[in-house]
Amino acid sequence: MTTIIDGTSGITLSGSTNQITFNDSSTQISHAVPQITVYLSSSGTYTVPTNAKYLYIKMVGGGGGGAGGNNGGNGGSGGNTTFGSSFLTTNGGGGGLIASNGTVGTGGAATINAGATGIALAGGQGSGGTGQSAATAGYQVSSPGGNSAFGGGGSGQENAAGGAGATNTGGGGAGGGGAVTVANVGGGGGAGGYIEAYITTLSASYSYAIGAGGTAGTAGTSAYAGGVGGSGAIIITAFF
Amino acid sequence: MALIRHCIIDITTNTVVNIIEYETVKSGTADGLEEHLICVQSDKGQIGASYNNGKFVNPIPSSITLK
Repeated sequence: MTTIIDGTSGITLSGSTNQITFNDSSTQISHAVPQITVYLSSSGTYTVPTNAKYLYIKMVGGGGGGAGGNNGGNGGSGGNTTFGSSFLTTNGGGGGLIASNGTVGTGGAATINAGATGIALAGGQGSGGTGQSAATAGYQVSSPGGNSAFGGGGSGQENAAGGAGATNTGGGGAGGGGAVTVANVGGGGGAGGYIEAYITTLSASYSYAIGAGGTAGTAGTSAYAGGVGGSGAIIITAFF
Repeated sequence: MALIRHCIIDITTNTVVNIIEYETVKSGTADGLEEHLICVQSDKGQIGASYNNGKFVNPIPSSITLK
């Protein structure tokens, strides 16, 4: 049977709050606005809203911390941001390395497992620590932290502690600088990995965890500590 | 509010597998974590560290000697 409704004066569903439900309950028409949930720290469980059709996820791991100047200590790795159990994972960036190491702070990897579709991007590398002859030493800008897809890498500085990665960007912390007589500045931490993905077949709930920023490397003699890495984040948009 | 750093330890291997910050001090299995993962407050433990009797032994970072 076909029913034609005269909608000239509009159609009001007085008994419905936000939807028309068909026999196939998976195909619903709704005017409910998207529901956005943002997690900036800790761990917990995300409960999928009733009648949600799909989720759009943006997430970043924590940035690595910057290394200390004058071959102090390496920075710590950033924590991993996760959504679901072994489902979406953005690893933290590697800690910045002291100048005598000479290599970069690695960007965190990102992994999308079966059940979601999107892009998984590694975080940007933190610049390696650098040195120069002590005989010619002058103030030297320390090495910056890597940028994530959200940016946020800390800037290198002269004669000061490394800049911190911006909170909740997953940016790496910068290496520490040193006094004019110091020949080596610290390397920057790598940025956290990044995911942008859709989930169209939904579970009732998902566990989550937000990776912390990496610790700053300790200062060497006559030098400064690195900067801490930026923490991670998850932004979830549920569509109806 | 200052957040408090915690190491997340896999008790099947006694290894730190993640670092998460919470608003309050946590212990045992925190919300959202699987049963084999526990929280221990620490400012120094790093991912990959071993954990035993309240003490962390961090992994030795790779190093390259420049000549």
